[in-house]
Amino acid sequence: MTAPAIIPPRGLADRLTTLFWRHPRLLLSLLIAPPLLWLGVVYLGSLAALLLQSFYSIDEFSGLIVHEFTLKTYGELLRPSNADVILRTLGMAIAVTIASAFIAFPIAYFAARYAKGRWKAAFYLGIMLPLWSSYLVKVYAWKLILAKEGILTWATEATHTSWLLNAALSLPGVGGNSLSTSYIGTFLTFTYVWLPFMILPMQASLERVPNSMLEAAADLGATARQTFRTVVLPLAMPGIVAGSIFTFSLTLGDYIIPQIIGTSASFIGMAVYQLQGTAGNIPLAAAFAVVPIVIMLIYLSLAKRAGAFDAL
Amino acid sequence: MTSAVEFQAVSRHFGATKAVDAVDLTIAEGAFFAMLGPSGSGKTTCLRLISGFEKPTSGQIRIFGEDVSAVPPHLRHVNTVFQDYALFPHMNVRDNVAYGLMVKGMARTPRYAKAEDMLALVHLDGYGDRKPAQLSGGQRQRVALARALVNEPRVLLLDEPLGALDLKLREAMQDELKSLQKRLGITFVFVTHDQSEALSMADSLAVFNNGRIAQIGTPTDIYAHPKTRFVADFVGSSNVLPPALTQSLGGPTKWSSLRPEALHPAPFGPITGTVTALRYLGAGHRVTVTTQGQDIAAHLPSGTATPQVGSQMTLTFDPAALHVMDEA
Amino acid sequence: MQKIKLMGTAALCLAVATSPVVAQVTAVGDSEGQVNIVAWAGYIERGESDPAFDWVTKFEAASGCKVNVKTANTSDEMVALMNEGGFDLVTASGDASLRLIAGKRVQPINIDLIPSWSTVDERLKNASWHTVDGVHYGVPYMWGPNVLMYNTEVFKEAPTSWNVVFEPMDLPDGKPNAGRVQAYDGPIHIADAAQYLMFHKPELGITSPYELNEDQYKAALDLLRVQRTIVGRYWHDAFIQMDDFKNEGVVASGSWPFQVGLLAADSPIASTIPQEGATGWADTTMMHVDSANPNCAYKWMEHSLASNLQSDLSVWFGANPAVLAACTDGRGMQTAEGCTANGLDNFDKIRFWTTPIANCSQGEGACVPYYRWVSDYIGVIGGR
Repeated sequence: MTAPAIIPPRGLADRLTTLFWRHPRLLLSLLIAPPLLWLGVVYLGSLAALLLQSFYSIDEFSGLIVHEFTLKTYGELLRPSNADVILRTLGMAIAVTIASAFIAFPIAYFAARYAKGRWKAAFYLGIMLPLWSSYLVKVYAWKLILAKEGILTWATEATHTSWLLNAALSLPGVGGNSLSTSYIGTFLTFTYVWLPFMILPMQASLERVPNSMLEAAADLGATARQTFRTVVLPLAMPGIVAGSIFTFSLTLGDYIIPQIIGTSASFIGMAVYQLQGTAGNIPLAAAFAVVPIVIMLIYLSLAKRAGAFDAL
Repeated sequence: MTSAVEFQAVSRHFGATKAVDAVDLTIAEGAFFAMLGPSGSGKTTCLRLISGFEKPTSGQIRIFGEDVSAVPPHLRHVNTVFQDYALFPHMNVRDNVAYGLMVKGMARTPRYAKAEDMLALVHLDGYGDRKPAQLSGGQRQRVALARALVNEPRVLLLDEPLGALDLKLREAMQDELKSLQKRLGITFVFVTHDQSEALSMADSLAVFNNGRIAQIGTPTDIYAHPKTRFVADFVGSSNVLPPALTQSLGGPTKWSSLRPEALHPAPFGPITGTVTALRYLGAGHRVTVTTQGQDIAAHLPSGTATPQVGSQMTLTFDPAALHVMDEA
Repeated sequence: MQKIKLMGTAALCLAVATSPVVAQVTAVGDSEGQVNIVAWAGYIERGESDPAFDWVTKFEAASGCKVNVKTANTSDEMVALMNEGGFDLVTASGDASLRLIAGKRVQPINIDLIPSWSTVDERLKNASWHTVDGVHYGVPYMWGPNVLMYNTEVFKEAPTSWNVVFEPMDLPDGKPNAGRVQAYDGPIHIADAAQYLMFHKPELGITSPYELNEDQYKAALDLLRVQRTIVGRYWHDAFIQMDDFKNEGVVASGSWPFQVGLLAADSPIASTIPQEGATGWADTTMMHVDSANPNCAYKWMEHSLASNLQSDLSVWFGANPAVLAACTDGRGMQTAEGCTANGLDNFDKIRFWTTPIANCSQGEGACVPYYRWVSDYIGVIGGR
């Protein structure tokens, strides 16, 4: 007796497997339909709702929302006090991103090129550990560090460098009564809190630069500085941009840190929070919320034009 | 005539591992020199010692008579074609080739002109605007070559330059590299684990084993007169015969080697055994005959009658073909 | 969206007044087994935060009503939860209570079924934030002033005016107040400025700090712009403010009795209500119109007025009980001195928090509505 060439299907599972084998797209669409639905409805849907709200306006007298399409609310954003909020947030986001990039690069570079085995584990632990503790705890801790009668003041007194601290605090615009009530304090805390989000993508992109690429540059006569400028930096750029997207957008959207540390002057997130509450000015809150999205889009297109994604 | 590269008792140890161990080596100027060996034999480390990416643990390296112990890679008149080509993915082909000139501060117009010359040299005229990702493996190889040659090195190092190419392309590139070297007249040092590549391309070669040079000489010399079992075995799939068998075949009580091509089927002969394997090679067959517990391979050219596996077979050879080695 | 529509309260109030009153409960029957309450954090304690403060466990045993508490953080959240339904009671503040009445989310209370109603502070019985046209929509729970907290080492005597936090000056220790005073980080603080102006600039004609016409409003903002120059950081979190008094060298600020009580324990801190008076808040326990557990709800409302509960609550929160006996009868932890410290005697000086709306006692659309308070206060803090 010869065995049949085809094993008969043993049940529903076999039949389904056969069906999927014959129509691979069916399986694919079944697998991605739920997440796509989630993305489409919940994610993009809420964004669309937000966008829609921003085209409504609030009636000056009754305080009721007028459900008519208008650009009046966006015009409100240009009022000096609102434009202040946007520029203040933007300036902070830029400063935090630049500082993070400068601090993160050497750390990421060391981790990607030199740290091995146990050192690498220590690196990841060191970077991730602050992320595991509550964000609020870190912010409150920084408040204590930066307070007028805090650790930093004490340290500068002990090392006779108070003049340095006082000089920083007397800077016009960014200074203040103490670090914790000045823009410098807000900046320091932001930079600390978002730094891991800059280091990790940077390190990942640096790790992808093969050693032979650096050797090739040196082999062709490039000094260390030239190698860095012409090879390492362009190849690390996608990671730097990815990291800066994090630090930039996280700073744009945060409303906790500037509430706890700084001059109490509003950032975009705080303004949204205050406007959507009892104030009921949902249109203006929505318009404010659209600002970071627009800024990010502009930022990404500029980065693309500058060739940040060429090495992808 | 000064030698292009000279190693004097050079060692490179990584902890307990002796990657390169007391190597003496002289590479003549204008030579096409091959470093052949299995992976981990120390040949690549030797190449990196020449380029400067490794520093010797002890010993002295001279390039054109100059001690280069204290000279970093970017100041050596030596360029490398890397195994993975290491082309810069964010630059186009022209900028890749012109890189060596760019870091020296050459203006854009002359450096692009020279880059185009180099691209023409490797038959890639008109590819300047492409990105490396848009090229085939063979084309990338040529770009890497052009990039390394643009600085007019006195020694060109090639690390497994053809390893990633398919057979056909590899053979074409072998010829091309050879003629390029003749035309430029500079010293080529290349590393390979492919013995046929080494034999066909090099003027002279060094066979590496365990961080040491097992034998150094011309390809014919090494192929015909391997000094050790390892060399005989690694360079061409030779039959390596133990001392007892060598003696029974009329030689001294020493290890010997016998090329498969030297063995022919005959009605009478010194070797008789059972056919245990038969392999078709296109241009003939390779037959394995087992005698006294030893496998002996013989090459049967096309047209020769092929035996059945399991049958008895007798082989004969020209006694001059039996190469006796120094190893007892 | 719902809550915004509800902001035109005045018109809706009228609608409530003319519509027939929802049927009241006429008798308290057997326990339904549970009662669901929306409350501020710390308002309904069952000894989990501090074993000494527990006014739920015994009630549950005696009434057979299990108490389920849903904590809300803002008045908006409370209104939203009540709109959703599924709750019996809510501890609503003055800015939420009228909205709930106007939206018909709460029902009138039959005070005859609450024996302890007679013990309620007379000043609260007919308060406008829960009694509309003589109909009671809840029982008072607690109230408190926004006091002036100060450092007793700097102020040997209590400051008599809010001017120490509104205008640049040298404090009694000879150093300027710039950077050493704080203000509340919420648009409601505009009302504090208006109250200050009510006293010092009567020519503005301010009658209520929550009903400001354009001129009065502008004067308040101008005062706040002056304040911005002396305030380093505004406070919005009670614990951060306490930290600022300890570590930031802050010596005076508007605050709540809650912070004063906690700080006074180990720091040279005291509080006062200056001559201008103060703003404050008053909360009411209100009953959902569709309450599924009316009997337990009535039992809780009665229980909430027990003098020992009121006494402990006022100590716990640093506020004033709705039942005056709680200060004196010794059934709880509160004492007459404690009540005085919490500002019990200053009821008349206090302007209770209500949501500013456009249609106010000055006329239709005469007042600046709350949403503008929000955006303008953002501007003021931003230095505009």
